Amino acid sequence: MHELSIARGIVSTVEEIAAGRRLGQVKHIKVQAGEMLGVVPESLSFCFGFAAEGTRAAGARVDIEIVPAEGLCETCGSHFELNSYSYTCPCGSRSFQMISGKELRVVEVETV
Amino acid sequence: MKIQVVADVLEANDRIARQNRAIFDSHGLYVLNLMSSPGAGKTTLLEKTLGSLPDLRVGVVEGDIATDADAQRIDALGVPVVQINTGGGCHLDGNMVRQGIDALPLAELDVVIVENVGNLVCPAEFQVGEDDKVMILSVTEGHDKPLKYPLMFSESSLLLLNKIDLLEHTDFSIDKASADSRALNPGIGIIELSCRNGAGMDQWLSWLRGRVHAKRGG
Repeated sequence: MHELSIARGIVSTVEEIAAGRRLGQVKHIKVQAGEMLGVVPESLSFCFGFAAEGTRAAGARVDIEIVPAEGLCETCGSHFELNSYSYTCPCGSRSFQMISGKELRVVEVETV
Repeated sequence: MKIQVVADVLEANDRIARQNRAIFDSHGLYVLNLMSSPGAGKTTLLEKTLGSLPDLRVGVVEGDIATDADAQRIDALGVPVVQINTGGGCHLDGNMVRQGIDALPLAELDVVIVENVGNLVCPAEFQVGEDDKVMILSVTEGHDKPLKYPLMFSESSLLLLNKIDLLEHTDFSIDKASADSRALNPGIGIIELSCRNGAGMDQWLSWLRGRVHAKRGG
């Protein structure tokens, strides 16, 4: 049920953005969530409806894009997708830096 | 009107966590965020640890969805403890810990251990102001957990493989769990432990003392 905490986080983030730019009612929000966070989009949208009540984001639609987890191989230098059951570069190396998959950010806010 | 932004959703929590960290630092306190599934042995590890650290003054923050059963176990040892009930929430966040630490005598402590809500997923996302995240995986949970729940393994400084006294009754492969954890997090420390028979406890206590002294020295 971390979706409720995340939904609250999205609402306060959007409120901060909207207050800083003197925006009115928000109707659409785009969110990127890293695959590693295990966010369930349906559950997040559901929780968002409650979390946004009484705010500028009330009734807004949330689009959630899951960002695949990717590694940068420290052996061959290639970018590769981290698969849930093998954190291994196609070259066979298991030495890598994670370059995406843990992010959680609001990337677009659309007002009425 | 569409507005393009890049706004970190967890930033509000991270900000409070940084404030907590500043409070801890001002007291020279080392703070550890202890995480695991329910039943992996967090409270038992605490009980054994608290009884073995006469040289350090430790305070405990207990996070649970409901009840103060864990806080009572810690209180029985004469250790300062504060219970936070998340009321359904699956993890502690920076703000909850902020409210909890007000009830602890920080100036009289060397170490604060935050026992997070039993959950292998969400606690890893929320900083609370800790110096280190330490996680427990018990051998009865299975060696597939690092790959199935990668975030916590990739965020933790130390992995305690608990209940190794039960190893022979399970199919758990220490090699597989260790290799997968190191693939996710090359710097992770791994200690095999049994809170029940005491195996590995010296290694764990020495790791903990080392971190506390490193913080003081730094």
